[in-house]
Amino acid sequence: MDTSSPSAFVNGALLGRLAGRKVRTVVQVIGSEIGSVVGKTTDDVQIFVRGSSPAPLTTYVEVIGIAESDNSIRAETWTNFGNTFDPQNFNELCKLANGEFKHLFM
Amino acid sequence: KRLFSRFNYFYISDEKFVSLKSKKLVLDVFQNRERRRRRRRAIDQRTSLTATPLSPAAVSCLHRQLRNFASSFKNRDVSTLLPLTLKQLNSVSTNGESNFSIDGVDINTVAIVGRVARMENIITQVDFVVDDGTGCIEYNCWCYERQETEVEAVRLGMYVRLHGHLKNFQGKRSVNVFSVRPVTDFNEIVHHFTECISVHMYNTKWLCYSGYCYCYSTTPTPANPYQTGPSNQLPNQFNDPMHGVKQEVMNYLNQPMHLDALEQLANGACVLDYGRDLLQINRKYMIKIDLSLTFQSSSIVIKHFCIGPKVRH
Repeated sequence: MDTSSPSAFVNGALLGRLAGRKVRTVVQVIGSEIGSVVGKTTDDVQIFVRGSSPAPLTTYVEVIGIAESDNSIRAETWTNFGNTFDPQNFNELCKLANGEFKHLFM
Repeated sequence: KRLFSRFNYFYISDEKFVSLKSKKLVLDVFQNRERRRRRRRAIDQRTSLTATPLSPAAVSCLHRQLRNFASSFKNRDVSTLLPLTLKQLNSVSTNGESNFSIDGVDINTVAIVGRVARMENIITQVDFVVDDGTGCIEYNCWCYERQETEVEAVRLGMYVRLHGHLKNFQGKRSVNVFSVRPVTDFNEIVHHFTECISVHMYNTKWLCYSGYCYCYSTTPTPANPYQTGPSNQLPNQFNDPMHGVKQEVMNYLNQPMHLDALEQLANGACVLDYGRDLLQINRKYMIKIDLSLTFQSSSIVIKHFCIGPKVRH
């Protein structure tokens, strides 16, 4: 059991705090170009996700990677989360997982 | 907090499930009338029995009694099922060779949800590494088990739900995985972590929301002691968007065979078993039903009743 490289649940507001660390988030895809995807986080912040995404992308995509700044992530792993994902639940989970219950996750 | 404050509820016990072969044993124990009478007297004395809100002290007292009664049943077939993050799993404390506990609760079976980060096919076995964001865990499946479609469906990069027993072998902890299921609705991932937080909160803080959503009592009649009267309507039906679902659940609970199960619940029997029964009937939603029960002579009073977060299957 190895807990040496955890990835933190982030939304737009929390991304800035964790620059340089491994993060995971779910974005709603707004647009995609070669090499990057523009997405909206669960708290309506627009961010850029750099990396080669698998095609095709569903409405919601989970991205795991390194946070570069407060609005960009360099993605290592992409997972299609489909079209019926609830972003509000995820948003609340991010707040809880980085706040009062951080000790359960990091 | 916003997630939980919408619902006024508390857990009646940890999620416990009872294997089929010990069900008879459970029934034998619960049919011990002496014990039941004593328990009833104790609870009667401490809680108010009418449809008024219980004080937080009275509720936690009832809570503690039911939990102690349930956990005093130290049969090895009564197991706990805990949803955990791998970080939590790493920090469990052990007292002896194979007894693990976390937040004061014995661990038997764990539920983990994570991504298959690595999958290696060796001739006789398949090694998996599952990463849930808080840690990684390794487990392997032997060759003869691969014929099962459950394991065959697992692919690299896929999210899976694992169930397994926590084992301690020569100081090294591992999980003996007996069930692997791919995750199809990704809300399940959020739900799993929220549930980890919720169970942790319950086990450590004994959180008990005061106040109540709905209160009703069954009216005993001479013919059938569990016959409910027509006054059994939920209040606030015009303000509550989930009224229809709740009424459907209440109608289901009011059937005589389920009222028997409710009586067993009031005696501290397993909640998850009953919950699973309800889940099988209503597959539209995953509903968590939290009930607070007390009993007065031969009728059951449901004090608190709430439906937890709705997750589409």
